[in-house]
Amino acid sequence: MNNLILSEWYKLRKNRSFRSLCLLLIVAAVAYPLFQYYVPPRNGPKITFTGIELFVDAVGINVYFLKITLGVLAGFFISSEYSSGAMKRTASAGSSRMRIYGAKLAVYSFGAVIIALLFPVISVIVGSSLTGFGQLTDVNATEYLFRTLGFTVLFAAAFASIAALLAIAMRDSGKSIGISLVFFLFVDLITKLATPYFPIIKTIYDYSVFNLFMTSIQYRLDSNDDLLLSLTVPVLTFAAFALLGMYAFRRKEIK
Amino acid sequence: MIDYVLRTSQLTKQYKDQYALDKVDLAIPKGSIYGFIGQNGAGKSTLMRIVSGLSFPTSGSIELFGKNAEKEIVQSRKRMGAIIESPALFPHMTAYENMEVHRLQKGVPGKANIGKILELVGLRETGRKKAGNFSMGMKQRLGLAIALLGDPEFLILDEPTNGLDPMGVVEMRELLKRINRETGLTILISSHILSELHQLATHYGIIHRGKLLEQLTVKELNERCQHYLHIKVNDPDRAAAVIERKLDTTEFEVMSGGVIRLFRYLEHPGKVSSELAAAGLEIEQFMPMGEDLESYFAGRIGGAGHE
Repeated sequence: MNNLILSEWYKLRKNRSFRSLCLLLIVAAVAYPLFQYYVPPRNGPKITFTGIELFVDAVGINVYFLKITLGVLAGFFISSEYSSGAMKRTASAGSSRMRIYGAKLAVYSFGAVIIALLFPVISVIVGSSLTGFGQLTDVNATEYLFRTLGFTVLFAAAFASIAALLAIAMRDSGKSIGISLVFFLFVDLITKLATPYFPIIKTIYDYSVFNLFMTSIQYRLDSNDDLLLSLTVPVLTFAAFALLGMYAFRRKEIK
Repeated sequence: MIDYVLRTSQLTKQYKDQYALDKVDLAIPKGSIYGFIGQNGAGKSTLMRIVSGLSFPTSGSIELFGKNAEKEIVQSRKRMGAIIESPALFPHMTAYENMEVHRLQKGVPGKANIGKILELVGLRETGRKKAGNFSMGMKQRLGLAIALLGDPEFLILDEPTNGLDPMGVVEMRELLKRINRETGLTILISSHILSELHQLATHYGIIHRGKLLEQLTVKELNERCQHYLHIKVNDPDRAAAVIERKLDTTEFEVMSGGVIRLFRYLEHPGKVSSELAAAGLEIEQFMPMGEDLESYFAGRIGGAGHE
């Protein structure tokens, strides 16, 4: 397993889409506060913000960044190995399918976590260096920062587990990216549209990572239940989709 | 007792109502170069894919290095290298980086091994050139280099000469022969170039429409390939009469175009030519000939065209 993880990590580091996404997010995270700081709006007062306020903004935007980038990375890191034939080498090299999928998912999830953290972390660093870290009125800023980053790690891994299953099922990077984008970006809308016909969907959605991710980045979690759900649901989602992925990959014919 | 690297028993792969493999019993002796011959869609790649773990049989079993339990077979694949259908490279990586991915994956110690193998296949000097920009021949050689990582005992090569120029084909053949001779590496190889396979393989398996028609050694093949004297004369009917009377044999065939195939007197061609000349016949062509692998294969599958 260790060999497989080392090999996957080497591939991820060399993966052009991973590098490009990281670069894009770093540029966006640096440019966003600099633009706000140095280019005040026309006919309006100069926007003042602190590092933590910028972080709050960045976390809200990051939800969408994450949903878009995960599918792209899954397509180019997982599905593309089918089209290049590289998956054949891996599958014939003497490791069980479960281990192969496990190593791939572990490294892909790690990549997803890096991508998920880049924008908010760099935003808060750049913002703080320009105007100071600052305070939040409702909650201790440091506590909020680390709690939100912790949840971002958990939810990114959970989303990655879902995207990895889609990528394994699709086999083709184009299809994989397309399906992932549609799924992640429109799952909220689809749920709303389907709820009047199937009320159970609303209940499932409320307890899913898609809804709870938004809950977890609020200043205050309304109850201990929210905290508990925000901790357990992504972990369970990761585990469930990892098992589903392993099952799907176990007897899959590799073309 | 013969030691086998791979044995299959009643191996069957069915897609809906079509059999890609139909009860195949194949055995590859240790240290052999096993030439796997068949038309497109005959089942060669399907068998190689099952042995490599890319596909699963509908029924039947395989025994790899004497192991037949599923977990043991998976483990045994660590002793194998394979190129199935394509070299399977990462196009955005250099030759060295491609090798490094697989070195890490197989847990092969020492990066120095990479340089040695790249040297062996003639790709040491490719530097920072990406594999995506390699010629087909270079890709095939890099695919072989990856398959050779970790000193495998069994190599599966599905059409490894595809895309190689004539010199590349010869180099590949000589390289495989040398590795087989020096390390005792067992090789299962399929190729459309039967003349090449004839110069390389020590054992053959002929597969047609999913059924393994025959397995034979190179010695058996040579025995079964019919040899004859090819004689072209100005009057074949009179020549036939001379052969029957003077040489006392009916083991010949009169072909079109004044050609006679004589299956006797291969050791004494001089006697044949003197008798024909003595009868006043003009001999236009006179040479020993024999079936090669290509014609033997065509004969075995009944001369069927491509599917």
